[in-house]
Parts: sequence; structure tokens; C-alpha cells
Amino acid sequence: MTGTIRAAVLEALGTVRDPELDEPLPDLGFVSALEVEGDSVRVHLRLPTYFCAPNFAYLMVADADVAVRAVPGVGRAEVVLDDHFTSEEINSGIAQRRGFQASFDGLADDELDELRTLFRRKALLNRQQRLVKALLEAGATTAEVGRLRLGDLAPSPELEAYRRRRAELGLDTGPGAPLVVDTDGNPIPAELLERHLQLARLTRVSIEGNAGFCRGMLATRYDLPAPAPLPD
Amino acid sequence: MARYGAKGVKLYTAEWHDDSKGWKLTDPWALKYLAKAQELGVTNIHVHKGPTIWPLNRDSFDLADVDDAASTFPELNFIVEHVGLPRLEDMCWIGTQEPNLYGGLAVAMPFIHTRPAYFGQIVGELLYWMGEDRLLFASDYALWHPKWLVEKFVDYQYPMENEYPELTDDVKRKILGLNAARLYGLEVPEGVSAGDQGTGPDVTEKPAIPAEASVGGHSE
Repeated sequence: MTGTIRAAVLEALGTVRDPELDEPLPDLGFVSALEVEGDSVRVHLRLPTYFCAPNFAYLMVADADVAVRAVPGVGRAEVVLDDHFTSEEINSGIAQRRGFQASFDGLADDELDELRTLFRRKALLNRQQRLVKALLEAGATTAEVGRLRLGDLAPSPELEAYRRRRAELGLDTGPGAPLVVDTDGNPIPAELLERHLQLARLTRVSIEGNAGFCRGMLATRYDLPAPAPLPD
Repeated sequence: MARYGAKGVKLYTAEWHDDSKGWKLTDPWALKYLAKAQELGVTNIHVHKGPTIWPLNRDSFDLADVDDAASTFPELNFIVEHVGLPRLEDMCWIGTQEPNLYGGLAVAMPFIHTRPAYFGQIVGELLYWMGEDRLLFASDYALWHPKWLVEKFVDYQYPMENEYPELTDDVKRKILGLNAARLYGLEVPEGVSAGDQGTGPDVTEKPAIPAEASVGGHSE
């Protein structure tokens, strides 16, 4: 039973992403330990630096907390962030369900919804560009890519990831929806397509570059063999 | 300023001190400061963007305040140090809209050694979006002697296939010194030029893109 819960919790954590880097926490090496005793689960998270932005850190802990609690068979669950300058504020805020603003009394003037939406938009462009890049490398023209619908693409994990980003923003994920859209789900007029794809490329380059940088910092901080390993 | 003829200042918006939890270039007294700088002939405003700026619910690396300040003070040059990293996308996007925005390559330069392909992407994107006249070499001199960085950059070629603007010797001359010389009115040694030196920022008109396509949310 313990082994089953352990596997299910790990799978659940695999759905939680760093909002800024657009990758699952376990893939980034941010899950440092997973303790299971009966139906009690304790997850330890860690970040590349002591000073990583508290807002993103909070989102990750909160999302992980929700994901772990939703796993069938889990009774008590606790997700804690270690080795961070706001560990105490975040861990007690999550444990007591206080929300971000109350957890950082006097230092924040709102919750994190706007921040999350902004980075979901960036993630959308990131994932869209990965698909487009693969199509262009396979010989498609920009104009052809611009005409594609989601249903024209063969199923793949990358396509699923893109669909999830769209769903998170409330955008159409049906087979008839255009593949290339702006962050509000609108199709891109032909004359703006090139420009849009370059903006998406820029966004991917930035996110991937930052993810590489963070992996390197984490590996240095915790003396890990790079790239970040999955927890046992 | 008058005594030394200073033409530039370096500002750190992530400064924490007592009650202050960082500030923005759009804060009322920051605007006064910039107006005074302009009055005194201090035309180059180097901005070190950094983490942990109040309020914590906002993206602490965003460049929206530089964007606004650059619009408010078109006579001043705003040099964003470390080219806005980790928000290269914001940097490039704002750069297409504000002709007085420059990128300082401190911290980005050493990637030429540790991650040469990523360095190529950074420089390639900046050249594509902002042009070759608005990038400034920086050495992080407090960490090491700049000689190796200069030499590596002079020899650098993109190590990967790419669609970026070519990194020619003239482009490198501009980045390594001619652009800074222009900003600071420095005399360039005889025989050193990039052919079209002194023509000012390259803000080639690019096709308009609907505001909603922007992901940075720079309009406040």
C-alpha cells in the first residue's frame, strides 16, 4: 500500500510545474524527499537558491499541497519548502491555508492570480513554439503551420502538454481549434504570423535558458550530478 | 556631477533598506530624480534590475517600470544591465518599442564560456529585436580580468544553426565599444569603425502586432 501511495504521489507531483520554468517539479529536481507512513505523506521541496522569488515558491508549494491531498488513499499530507529565506512564512501559510497576501503580511498587496496568468501565457507560447519548431524542422512552411488545427497533429506528449496549457487559460482545446493562436486564443492573421512565431521563439528561448540556469544552480547548491535526478 | 562631468549613473531598484523593499523607476521621487539627471546632462541611466521588489505578488524581474520611464524620458538612454535576464523576452519586446532602451551584457557575457549556444541565443534574439546599435559589452570586471571575455567574443561564432542576424566583425566592434563610445561621447581611436558608426539606434520598423499578443503586460 505504501508503495502504491508513493507512486501515486510522485505522479501527482509530476503534474505540478514551476510556473516560471514551465516544467514539472520532479523533472527539475525540486522534490528532495518523499516520506510515506501509512496514509501520511510528507513532501520536501527545494529550490536552486535561498533567494528564489517567494511568489513562485509559494505557488509551487501550494500547487503541490493541493495535488498531494487529491491523491486517493492519502490521509495526512504536508508539503514543506526547505532552505529558503521565506520557508517559515510559506510553510505556515500553506499549513494554515492563509493565502499569499496574509502569509506575507505587509509585503504583498494581492494574491498571485495575475502573476500566474501572466506566466501561463508565456508557457502557452513556449509549448506552442516547441510544436511549431518540430513541424518547421520536418519541412512544413510557416504558412502551412498557420493553417493547421489541433486535430491535424499526431498525438504526442508535447501536444498534450500544449493542450493543458490552453485549457489552463480557458482556451479551445478541440480538434478544430487553430494550432497557432495568441495568448487569448485568437488566430493569428497571415501577415502577423511570422512575427508571432518569432515572439513565441523568444519566449521559449528565455524559459529554456532560465530552466538550464536554475538546474545548474540547484546542482551546484546540493552537489548533485547534473541534470537534476528524479527522487527515489 | 558638474565637477566630474558624469554622463551616467547606475541605479539598483532592488535595494532593500529599513522600510524600503525596493523601488521602481516610476515612483514619484524616481521620476524627479530622472528629471534632475536630464537637467544635469546625465543622459545614461544604467538600471540593474533584480529580485525581491515589493510588492511580492508581482513578477519581481519585470521591466515594466523601465518601459514607462523610457517613454516618459525619451531624451535619456536607459541601459538595462544583464539585458533584463531572466526576462529576456520582456527586454526584447520593450526594446522594439522604446528606441532609447539599451542592453548591457554584464552577467550574460560569461555564458560564452559555460553555455556558448545559449549565449548565441541571447545575443541573436537581442540583435533580431533591438538591432546592433543598442548592445553594450560588459566584463563583470569585479570578478575577473576582461581580457579572456573580449578575446572569446572576438572569436565567437554561433555554434548552432540559427535564423539570427549575422554576428559580423562590425557588429562585434559596435558591441565591444563603439556603441558605448557613442553614448558617452568618447573619442574612438583612428582606424576603428564599423562603417556606419554614429548612425544611431537601429529601430527598423517592424510589422505591428496586436497589443493582446504581448505576454509581458507592459502597459500599466
